[in-house]
Amino acid sequence: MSHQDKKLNIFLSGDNFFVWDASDVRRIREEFRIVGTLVGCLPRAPRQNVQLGLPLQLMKEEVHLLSEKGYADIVEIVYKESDVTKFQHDISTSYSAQVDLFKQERRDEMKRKLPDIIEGKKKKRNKLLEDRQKNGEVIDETDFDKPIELDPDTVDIPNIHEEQMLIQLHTVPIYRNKEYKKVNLQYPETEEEILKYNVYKYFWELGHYITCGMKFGGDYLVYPGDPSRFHSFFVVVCKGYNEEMSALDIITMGRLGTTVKKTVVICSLDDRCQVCSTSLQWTSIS
Amino acid sequence: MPARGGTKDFMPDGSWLQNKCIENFHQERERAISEARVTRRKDLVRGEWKPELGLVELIHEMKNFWEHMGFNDNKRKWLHPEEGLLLMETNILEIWYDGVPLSLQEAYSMLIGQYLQLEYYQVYAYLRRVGYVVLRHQGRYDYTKYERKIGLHKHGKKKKKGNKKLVGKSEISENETHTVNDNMVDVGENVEYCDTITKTEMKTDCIEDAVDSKTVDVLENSSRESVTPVSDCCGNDGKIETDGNLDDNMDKSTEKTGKVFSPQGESVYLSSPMKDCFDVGSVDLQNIVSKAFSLKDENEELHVGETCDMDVDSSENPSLDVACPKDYINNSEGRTDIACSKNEQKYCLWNFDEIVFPNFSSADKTVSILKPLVTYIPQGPGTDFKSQSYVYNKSIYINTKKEKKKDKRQDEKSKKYLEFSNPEVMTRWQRAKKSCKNWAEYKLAIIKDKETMKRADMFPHLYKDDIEPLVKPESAKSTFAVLNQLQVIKDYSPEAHRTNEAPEIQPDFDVYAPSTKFKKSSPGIPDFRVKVARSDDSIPDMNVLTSIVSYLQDDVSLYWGIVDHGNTSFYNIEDFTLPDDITLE
Repeated sequence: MSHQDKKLNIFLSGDNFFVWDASDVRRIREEFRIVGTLVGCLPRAPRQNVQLGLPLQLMKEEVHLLSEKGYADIVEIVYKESDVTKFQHDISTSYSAQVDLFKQERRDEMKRKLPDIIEGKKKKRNKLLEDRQKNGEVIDETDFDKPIELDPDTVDIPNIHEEQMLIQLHTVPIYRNKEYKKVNLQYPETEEEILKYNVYKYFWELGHYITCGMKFGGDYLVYPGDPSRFHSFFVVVCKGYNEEMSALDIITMGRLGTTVKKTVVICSLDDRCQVCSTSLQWTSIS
Repeated sequence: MPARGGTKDFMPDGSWLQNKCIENFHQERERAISEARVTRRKDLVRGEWKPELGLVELIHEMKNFWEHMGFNDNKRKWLHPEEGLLLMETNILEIWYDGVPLSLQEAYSMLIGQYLQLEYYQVYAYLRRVGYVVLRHQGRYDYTKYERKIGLHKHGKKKKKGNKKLVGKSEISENETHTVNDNMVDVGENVEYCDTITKTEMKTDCIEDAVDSKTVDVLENSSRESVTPVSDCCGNDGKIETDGNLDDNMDKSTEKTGKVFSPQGESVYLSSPMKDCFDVGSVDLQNIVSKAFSLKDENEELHVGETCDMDVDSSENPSLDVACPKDYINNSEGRTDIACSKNEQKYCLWNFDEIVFPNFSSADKTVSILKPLVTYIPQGPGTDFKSQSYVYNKSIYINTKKEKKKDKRQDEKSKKYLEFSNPEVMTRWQRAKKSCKNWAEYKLAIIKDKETMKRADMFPHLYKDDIEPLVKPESAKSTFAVLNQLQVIKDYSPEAHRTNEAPEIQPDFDVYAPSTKFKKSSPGIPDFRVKVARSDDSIPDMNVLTSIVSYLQDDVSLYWGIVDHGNTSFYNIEDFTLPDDITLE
């Protein structure tokens, strides 16, 4: 499938990375096992924090992995002048389309309720006739039974008011000329970044899903499958290979792991730049 | 909306059901996030992005969001970028730029950046989505604890209004004086310094001081600039009484008025003989100053109290009368009958040497009062005094004896039932009372007494050496006091470290719980404040924290909103004092 081979775009804005396409967001998660974080308001329910919407914000690790593996391009948009004519054209076509749709809908509704409408009209007419009869006018009795003609296809339906017209607030830019500029990410640079990225990649290549571990007091959380379905197994803590740790650190991490029911994994890069990891087990001797 | 949470599986088992669940989730999520934001045009507010200001200008009608968002200046209504972006995301606002509305992606890249950090926006959006009212940090509110306790801070707006009114008033009066000045152009250059007088007076709060100093320096100036001998006499003779405060004012304003005045002084000096010029000048001065001050009087800002004449005279020059404007105000009709006597200063129209007050205290039984001076008595019925003196029986008017007896009885009664935690105070007080003539002596006596008390301790031998016990017997009044004495490291109290200097770090947001009573113009004290931080920022040190809290002075908790790649969480560092455990056995 050509769609599958197409590289997706990660947009750099300031020093943040976003994905703005809903299908890209799905592909990133389903195909590439990259989770990211949705940070915008959900269009349907914007006033809550449980479910968020576009854009999807990515960590540098995720961005770099996607571009390194050739799945995505990092681009920066340079905005040029706006396309006012296109915008106005779109608005007017959208308006006329909405008017047509509106009329069509009214007609369909009329057709559905035609017997009711005719019945109502008849009642109204007969009431008027009765009133006139009471006032002394001579009305032909056959007038009460005359049928009423109504053809929904020819009835004149007024346009919807322009203020009533629906307007779409676009998510991606349409009415502005733009230029895509490819960006080379300068990452990982520092020793810490190199360590963290390698650990991230290590777990990703093992087939796991990895998210940021702030919520659980580690560097990463490692999930065995899609985070929507499974709990994470590991809390990953990155430490330098020769970094000294006190016994207190070990206890802190061990306690953390048991309270959140996850295994704490301490990872570091050895002298040959290989990721080595060890896990902590909370034991008690009694 | 796709479901979230619920029970999760332990680990992937490759089953069809599990895969279907996951696929379903992805499908639902994609549909939810790709939903278009569509609104009717009439429900959409329009704004224009101004990148040079970093603000969104509202063009279209406001909606109810205006109650807690945005600000206006000179007819225009503005939104901060975070407000604009959130309203856009919640489908209320359409931001236009360069002829077309912005898409969300454009808005993210344009609005976030120079004027708005992403983390900052994310914390803002998080709080707004939950429903809080979030304002940019408003600075501190100068309400005392007590004012807050009795709920005075809720009426802050009224206070402000009052201030505004005052400002407005003084502005008006300033304008009025300007027009007065304009009308009096024919007076000459005098107008110029009259202007400076009134203007400077508007600025000074203490009007009485200002009045004195200004007129005095006008005087000094006029004399110094135009007629040198006069200036000498009024400067050196010391007839014009000034207090220290006044002196300061004088020095400053002398410079001011001096500059304005000098051209006039010179020109007058050249054009006419000395005597004439000064007379003319001084009369004009009186008029102008009096007018300026009667305007003030209308504003009720001037306390019309004591009257004050200042007569400056010298042997070389004809007598020169310059009256302080207050005098004019006192005479409501604006009459200018100034008491004028040579080399003498008077503060009041009443001569207290002439007025005799009856002395009730010295007299035994009767008081005789002389006939009052007719000049000071208002005319009317019952004011014609025939005899030269009147005798009053004291006991009729003052029932001194009875009260004294009563008082004494009550005093003794209350003394009997008074209980003192420190009984020796009473005895000491009585001891001291007998020997002291005034308070200073009394205080000294008390201190002496205390010292002698210390010396007379039960264990004098313990306090002989350099090393003394930590707790002294006289300070051991309660368990708490003893514990307090033993405390080697004192409790850190932020109260003691209060500063008025603004700390380097200021909170970012003031957050209010949603309320119908909320007013944007006087939001009052927030429910909490938020400072935005990145996850890799270090934790603020104690010094920073206390400086923020102590500067704000209102016990509102400060939360730190940490953003890590879109995940927002909050933490809070609160002060508390450890309880003093007192166990009695």
